[in-house]
Amino acid sequence: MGAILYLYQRAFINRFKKALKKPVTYIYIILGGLYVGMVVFGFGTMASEFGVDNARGLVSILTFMIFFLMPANIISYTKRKGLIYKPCDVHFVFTAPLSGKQVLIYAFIKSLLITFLLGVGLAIGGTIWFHVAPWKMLLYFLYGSIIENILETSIMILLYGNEKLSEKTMKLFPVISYLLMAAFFVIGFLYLKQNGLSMNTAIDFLFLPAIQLVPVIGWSIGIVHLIFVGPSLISIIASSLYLLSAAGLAFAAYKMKCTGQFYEDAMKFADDYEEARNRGKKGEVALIGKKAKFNKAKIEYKGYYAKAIFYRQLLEYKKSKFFIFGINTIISLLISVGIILLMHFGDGAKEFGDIKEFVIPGVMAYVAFLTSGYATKWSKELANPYTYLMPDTAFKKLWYATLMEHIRSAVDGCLIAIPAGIYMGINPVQILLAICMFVCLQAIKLYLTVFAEGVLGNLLGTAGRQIMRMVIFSSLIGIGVAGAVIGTIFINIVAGYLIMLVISVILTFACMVVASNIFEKMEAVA
Amino acid sequence: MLEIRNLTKKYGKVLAVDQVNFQVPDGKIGILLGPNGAGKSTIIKSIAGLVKYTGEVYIKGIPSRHMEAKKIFAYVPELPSMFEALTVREHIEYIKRAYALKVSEEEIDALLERFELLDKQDKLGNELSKGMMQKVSICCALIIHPQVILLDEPMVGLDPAAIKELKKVITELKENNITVLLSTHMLEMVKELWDIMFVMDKGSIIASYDKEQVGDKDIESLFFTVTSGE
Repeated sequence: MGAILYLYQRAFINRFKKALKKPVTYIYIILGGLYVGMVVFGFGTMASEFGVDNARGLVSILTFMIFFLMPANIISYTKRKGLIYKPCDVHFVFTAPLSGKQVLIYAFIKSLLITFLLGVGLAIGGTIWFHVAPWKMLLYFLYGSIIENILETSIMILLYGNEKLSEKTMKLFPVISYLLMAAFFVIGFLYLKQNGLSMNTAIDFLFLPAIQLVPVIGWSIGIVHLIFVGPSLISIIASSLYLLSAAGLAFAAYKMKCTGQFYEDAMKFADDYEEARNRGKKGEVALIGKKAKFNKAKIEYKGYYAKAIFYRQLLEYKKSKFFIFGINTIISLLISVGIILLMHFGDGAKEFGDIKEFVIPGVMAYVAFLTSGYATKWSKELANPYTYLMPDTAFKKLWYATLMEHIRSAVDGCLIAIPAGIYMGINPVQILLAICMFVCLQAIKLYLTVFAEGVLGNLLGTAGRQIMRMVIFSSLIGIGVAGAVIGTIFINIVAGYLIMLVISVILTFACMVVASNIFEKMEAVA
Repeated sequence: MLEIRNLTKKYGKVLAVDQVNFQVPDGKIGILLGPNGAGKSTIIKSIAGLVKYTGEVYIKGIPSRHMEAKKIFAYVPELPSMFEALTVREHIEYIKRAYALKVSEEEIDALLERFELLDKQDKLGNELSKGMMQKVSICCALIIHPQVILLDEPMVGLDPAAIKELKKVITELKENNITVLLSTHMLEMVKELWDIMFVMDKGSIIASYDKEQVGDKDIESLFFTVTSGE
């Protein structure tokens, strides 16, 4: 264990020293502090508004969380996916003369540290937000830090490190966990339906004695009741059973033989996790362990040099299961439906009046601002050395490498604007202008990515680049909005639309020129 | 000695290693050769205890999964992976603790200097090039003073000076009666080193040669005779 503690100690010290040398650390500290302050204030207000700022409210929230988290943990441990191992752990920890259980605890320490910090937060929050006596919060914190962790660690070792139970038997655990969670939600739903949808009814459901009788999960809720609400027959029985089960499981985990049979599954998960992490750094959405499946497709290259990039991307999309459509497509449709519902049920026509024509472009601008954009193919182009070696101008390379993304944003723009526009009776010309503006906004965001990467490099990290991009992007949106307002006030709505579009096109072109200059000087991103 | 008995490994329905048996005596250098997908890495990972398998693996007569076996066994993987937040020296310090080694700072300095890492000892894992990572990986294996050492494509990514040094190290290990098993494609690099050669294909050992028995025959001709004969 000394070696394991050494690893954590040195990693923490070195990361801390490195972070102190980076200017972005201080920005993150300020932003983090502001965020925490917001949450602290906001949560307190919310708890008060919902009437849960008391011990009963705290018990209800903890009950809900325990009934969701514990089965989820059991499922992940049984599937041997609950612990994060990295390739370096496989290299140096798995092969070291450490027992299988020590290797499990090594990874579990990370979870324990997070739980500890959350426990501290809860102890403070419980006193401030829920007005629970500090000694009770301290008692719960100690119970969580010691007994709950012993139980959780034992369950983790027994499931993750299991070498005796067959695969068939192991599959029962997630099934039971899913059934429990499903039963919890179904019974809860029925209870609320029968007794009326309100916070008090929800709390009454969570206080049902039967919940405390569910093995292990319910028993831990019994301890929550015992500490915060006071002793009752049910909570005393449940708590006693919980303590006995913690002791029993700890003994079983101690006695269990564990020679590291789980290393193979952990190694595979480590590789999948590392791959998903690397793809996430490039802006891709990657599910751990899921490899994309491709169809067969052909393409005829109708051009040379930089045009080949566009046709290659088209080929890749043709091989994809859903062509160019993806999660953004669904979101765009949902947005359109949302606008229609807002207009229909919210009496939007009355509420927005004359400016209802700008609802669609306004929503589009908001979506463009909030979403991460179409980074998928472009970030891969940056990693490809031939993007830089190809004998063509940077401008053309940038254009053809991003053309597919512009087509995608045009499709999504149509999905947002056309259904909602038809419903609202918007002029077809305005619908078209809105779509063009959306394409320009998405293009600006894409070129600002290049700009941010070229100007900042790795100085502020991925988050820093995203913040810079958002700041510039919001400023440019502001210019477009100003143009639209001026045009609408002094001429008419169509003129406002046109000015907004002209500004968008000019800004897009400007961003593209700047981006292509920067792109020319950029080194390939590994 | 390293002993493999009836080693079989399946990935789903695919039989990656099929009833493999071989031995590498003390003080001998065994070479595991074969085309891509032959099963070499699977055997190496099985010996290192990283994958489940059926069969038996013994390190100096001790089952490989026993703690006593792990203490005398070192492994250099094909793709080294460093702890991002640990320096080169801290990697070795960790190994020192994990194996409860009584190694002096001077010995660590000498090892780092041998592989031209002394001036890079304060570099973090995520600041190292692939070749440097490979050297750190080799140093971590050597500091254990193993009785059995497993090297999976150890020369990939190394500069010529480091390759020369590694060959010297392997020869010294042999002279100290250590068992070495090396998996490689680089026949040219192991020409002078090998004592026993195991040629694998499609999960089985299709031929094995003892240098003492084949005499002056070239390693390449031995390998291609077996593999092209199919």
